[in-house]
Amino acid sequence: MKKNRIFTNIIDQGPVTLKAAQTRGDWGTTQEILSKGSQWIQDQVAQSDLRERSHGGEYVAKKWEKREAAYIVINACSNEPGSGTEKYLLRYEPHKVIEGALLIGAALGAHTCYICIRGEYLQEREILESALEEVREKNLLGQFQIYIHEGAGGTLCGEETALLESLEGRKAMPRVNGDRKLYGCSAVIHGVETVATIPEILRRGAPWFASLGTLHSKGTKLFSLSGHVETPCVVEEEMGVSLKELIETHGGGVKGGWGFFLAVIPGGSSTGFLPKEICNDLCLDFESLERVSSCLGTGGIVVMDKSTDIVRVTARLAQFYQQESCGKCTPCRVGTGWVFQLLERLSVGQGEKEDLDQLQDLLQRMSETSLCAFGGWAAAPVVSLLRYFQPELEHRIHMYNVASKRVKV
Amino acid sequence: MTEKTQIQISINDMPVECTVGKTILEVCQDQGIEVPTLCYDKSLSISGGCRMCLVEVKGWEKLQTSCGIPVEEGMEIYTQTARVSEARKSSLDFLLMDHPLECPLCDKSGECPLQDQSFDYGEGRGIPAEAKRVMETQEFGPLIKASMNRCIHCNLCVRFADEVAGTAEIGALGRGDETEIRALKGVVTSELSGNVIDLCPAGALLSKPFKGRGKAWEMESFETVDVMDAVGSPIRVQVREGEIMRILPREGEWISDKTRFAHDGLSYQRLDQPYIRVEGKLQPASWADAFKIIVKKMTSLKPSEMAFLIGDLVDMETAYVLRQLLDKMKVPHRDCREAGQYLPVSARGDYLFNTTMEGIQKADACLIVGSNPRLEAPVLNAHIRKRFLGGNFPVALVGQKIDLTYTYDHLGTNALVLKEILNGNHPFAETLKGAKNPMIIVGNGALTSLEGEAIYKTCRAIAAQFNMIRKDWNGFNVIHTAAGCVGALDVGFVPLKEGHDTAGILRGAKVGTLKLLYLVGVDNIPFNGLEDTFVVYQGHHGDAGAHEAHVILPGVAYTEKDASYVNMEGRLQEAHKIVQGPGEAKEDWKIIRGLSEVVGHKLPYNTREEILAELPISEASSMSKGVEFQEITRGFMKESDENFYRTNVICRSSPTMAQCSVELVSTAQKATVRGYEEVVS
Amino acid sequence: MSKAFTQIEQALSKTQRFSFTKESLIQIEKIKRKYPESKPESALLEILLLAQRQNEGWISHPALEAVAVGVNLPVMKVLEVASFYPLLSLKPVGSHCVRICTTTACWLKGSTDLGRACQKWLGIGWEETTVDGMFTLKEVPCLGDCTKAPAVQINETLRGNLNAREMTHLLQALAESVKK
Repeated sequence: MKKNRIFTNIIDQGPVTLKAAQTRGDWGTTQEILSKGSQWIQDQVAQSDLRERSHGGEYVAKKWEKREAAYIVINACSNEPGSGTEKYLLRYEPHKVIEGALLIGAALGAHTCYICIRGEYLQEREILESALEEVREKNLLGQFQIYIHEGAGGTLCGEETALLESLEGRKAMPRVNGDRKLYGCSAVIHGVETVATIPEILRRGAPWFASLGTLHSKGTKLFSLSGHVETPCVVEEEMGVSLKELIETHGGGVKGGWGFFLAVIPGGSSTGFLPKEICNDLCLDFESLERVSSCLGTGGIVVMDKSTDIVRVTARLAQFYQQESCGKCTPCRVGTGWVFQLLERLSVGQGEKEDLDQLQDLLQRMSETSLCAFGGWAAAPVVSLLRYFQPELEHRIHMYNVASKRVKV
Repeated sequence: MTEKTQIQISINDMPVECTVGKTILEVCQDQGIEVPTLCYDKSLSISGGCRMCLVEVKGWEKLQTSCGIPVEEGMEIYTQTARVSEARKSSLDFLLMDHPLECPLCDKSGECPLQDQSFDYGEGRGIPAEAKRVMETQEFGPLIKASMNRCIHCNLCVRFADEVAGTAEIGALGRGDETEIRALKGVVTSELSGNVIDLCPAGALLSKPFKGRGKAWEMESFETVDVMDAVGSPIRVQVREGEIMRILPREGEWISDKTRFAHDGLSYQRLDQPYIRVEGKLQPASWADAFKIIVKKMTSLKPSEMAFLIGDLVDMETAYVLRQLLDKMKVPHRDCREAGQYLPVSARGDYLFNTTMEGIQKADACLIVGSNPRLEAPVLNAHIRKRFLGGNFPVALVGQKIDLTYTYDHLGTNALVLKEILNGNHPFAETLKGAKNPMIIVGNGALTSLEGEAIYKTCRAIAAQFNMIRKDWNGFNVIHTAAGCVGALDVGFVPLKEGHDTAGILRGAKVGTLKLLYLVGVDNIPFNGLEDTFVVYQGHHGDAGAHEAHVILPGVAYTEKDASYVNMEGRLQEAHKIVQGPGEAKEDWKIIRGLSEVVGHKLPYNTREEILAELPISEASSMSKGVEFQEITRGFMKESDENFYRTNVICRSSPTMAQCSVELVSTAQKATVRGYEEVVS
Repeated sequence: MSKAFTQIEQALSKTQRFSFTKESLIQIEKIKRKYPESKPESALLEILLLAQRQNEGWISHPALEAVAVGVNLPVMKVLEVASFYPLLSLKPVGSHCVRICTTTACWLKGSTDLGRACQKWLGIGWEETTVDGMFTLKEVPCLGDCTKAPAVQINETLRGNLNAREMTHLLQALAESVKK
């Protein structure tokens, strides 16, 4: 695995100057790649079967269907809880991000790239800024412009149209017609990791990348391990790695041992929980997670041991989604708050069994009728709670009712 | 190769041909297929938030927001499937989760889209709800009452303020379910603000003057036309037990706040019987006595010692009947241009808003001379703004610098700049030259100035120079402020050759050559210096004119008579008798008819139909040819500090308008426009 | 309940003066250059953040007006955007802003304890400022450093792996450094 790693500096955590990056191989053959032309880059990326490294995992080649774009937008704005990979990339591999942006720009004939970075990432912004400065000094970008746009979008910016709205200086709210245009021109939006992966693919060739991973998930992926593991970390592994292996080799194992393992959020909060039964032999790739109705997402793995109050965790997440909902469409605006109120109640068992049916119904309606994907994201953790931990909820309701009746007597 | 403009789709398995670029909702509405909406308005941008308009499109995974998704070739749309009706139910559930169910005490009840749609599409059961959201009460100024708990976040009001009113005073602050609709500084100053009340689909923004006064189903609706400005907005007057409760626009139109709220002025300061001045004091009198005194005075005078003026709210019938009488009496001094503006009358197009409000959308450059359309005709201004937002529409203004809600080139306050434009020595001349359909708007600020005639003629010359008057396009426009003016001009109520116009009549009265002044609804002239003149006032409100009168004859207002008005576009419209006039007040033409009998020139009209048959109704808008040019020498124009809420007798008597003029005008004046430099220095 | 309302009320009632410093103006020009000339409103968020940094961590009404003029938008539109993003504050904040991440990963590692310790030590609740105007305590959704949970951002520095005791020590040290 070691020789196949793309983001070596995330492990080494060495300096990030241009010089240091060049010794790691960045910017080495950029001119050569550029001289091969946009078609070549597009073909290579298509052959590598690279998939977007967040949320649904769309094929990059499919995003490039139109084969040209005026703007490239890089999304370093979506703060899905549990995803630490974005920040590490910006901090330790800024040159890969910049180089990737340049290459995508060249592939699609874009003239400008905006890197939307969260206002909270002050340090990372500075690192990126100085990296850009160096690159500009050496005139590595040519005519291509890369700007850093300081945003404050929140999770909603995972929705591409909301990100564009925010970039255009409005509230980050999704567009109704799903129009992915920036300033009226075509734009392509990518996550940071996707962008940073591209230079290496072009350098080592699509076959190398395609030889890694599984049938539908090629290459390597960054995973961030947090929560109840001995040593939380960000690590790069081949797609298809087993969850247990990942936790045990890199995370130092679950606190209290695998037997004490309760559940995991496999890729950022919108991917929901997976209980131990499923996790025992779960592999981390797009298709395996889809099989268990989850999603690889951003690769932000949050591990929970048996000391965790899973209902409270979900309630806290529901509150988070309530705060993050933009408020544009009714189901999401009202639904997220409704779900939160219900869960607050249910976490102490206050309620009836019918409340669970109502909750189920509510979640289904929320993801069905919401304007953008956010409604679905907000519903996912609660849906998985109901799917895997319903006995726990029923138990609490039972206990509460018993207790309250005793008080009455 | 031309793009295909017509495509085939199917709605509920019925094949439909439609135009490319339309949204699914538009096509459904064209076909008469009902799709419920709460946050959609055809003249505002799309929000897509209410989720009522969801439809199923075959092959598309999610339900689609029909108001925002354009139709595509071969689309198969379903609006009545179980999935769609389930989605509507659930959207309503979500909306009602936070909406207080206080319909019985809500003014919107009975005409509330949310209520109607809950009835038509809702679940029909109580929602097991958690705690309802509670919002702070908020101020929206003297016209709008806000109950924010009822707000369903459709953002229609925000979009209206932003896009149509152009003042951006209403905003959705905050995020998620804590979003609040608020007015900047707690007040909405726009002249069109009342429209948000109609737009609000949930009773969150309601009419303050109407608050708690009635319910939709108790009132009867009558269609008529507004006279608060020369736009002549089509309105619906709602009446309960002989009292006007409120005024609403007819379908799909905006109306100004004056149009909507000034009607309470109809119940104050009314003249309900004739009065005679005895020893300096006005005493009630009978019609016969009042006529007797007038006739006595008239018979003692030569026709050239009398003058007749008609004011801003006078209908066409009155102007016509009065003209017939004056022709018989051979009185030369008469005028209907109350403000004293210069307007030639030889051809109808000379004094009309020829481009028409619809036509503004086709214009591609605009020069405004001495007018503030925002206050003089707010609805017209909204049309100009709409065109402006469409892009590629340079606007320039000569005259007072004001906030028109769109950006324009201010060419100074002096009309001499028009000469430069005419000669092509001004940058804006290039703009006009490059435009295909340029337009010019001349207003009272120019026409009432000393050089009104010269400015008018220069504007005509500019119109000719830049090819504004063609067979397919007429870009020459006069903006009127008085609802009755065009109608009176149409019947030719202007001085005879040897007669004086308004200014001349007032001068004559002051120096004493004119002994009798007969005012029909004239209140907006300077009354000083008329002490020695015998003033007869005929009208419906005890305002400035009645104050100076020796004899008062009570007339009726626009909602109390069947009458014809012509708006500034030259469109004939009819006002209808909706309520009874007060006391002994009579329709103005009947008063004139009565007067004609006693002065011995009996007119042959007994019914309104007889007048209508004779009215010179024309749709022509031809322009007079060969207008001779007159040079502007000094170029000063009149500056106006007119208060929008106090322009005529009705709104001057209205308590609501009085409150607006205190609260809104002062706020608007405080909000000064500051330049970037000023703020940053 | 109505958080936005009180915030804005405070922002409006403050009759503060605000004008961009020379450095900020240069910065603004720089920011605007990043976007197409016809789209100055793109710079809105960054200029708001700039104004906030210059104005002791919050955006007053005069600051809003100055920003509005800078990007050529109505004040209301600027206010709408400013009230939308939690990163921007429309009410005065303390000289030290303590942001504690309380979402999943940090929550699992005891951010609740951290929050409680801070609240106890400072004597204030979430989103509140101490009476002496020294500290503001904020609950934030994910600081993006899940591997160092629980994460806390004090002013502009990020700290990870804290426990309640360490947190109080940190606050104490900060308070003392100000006194000196």
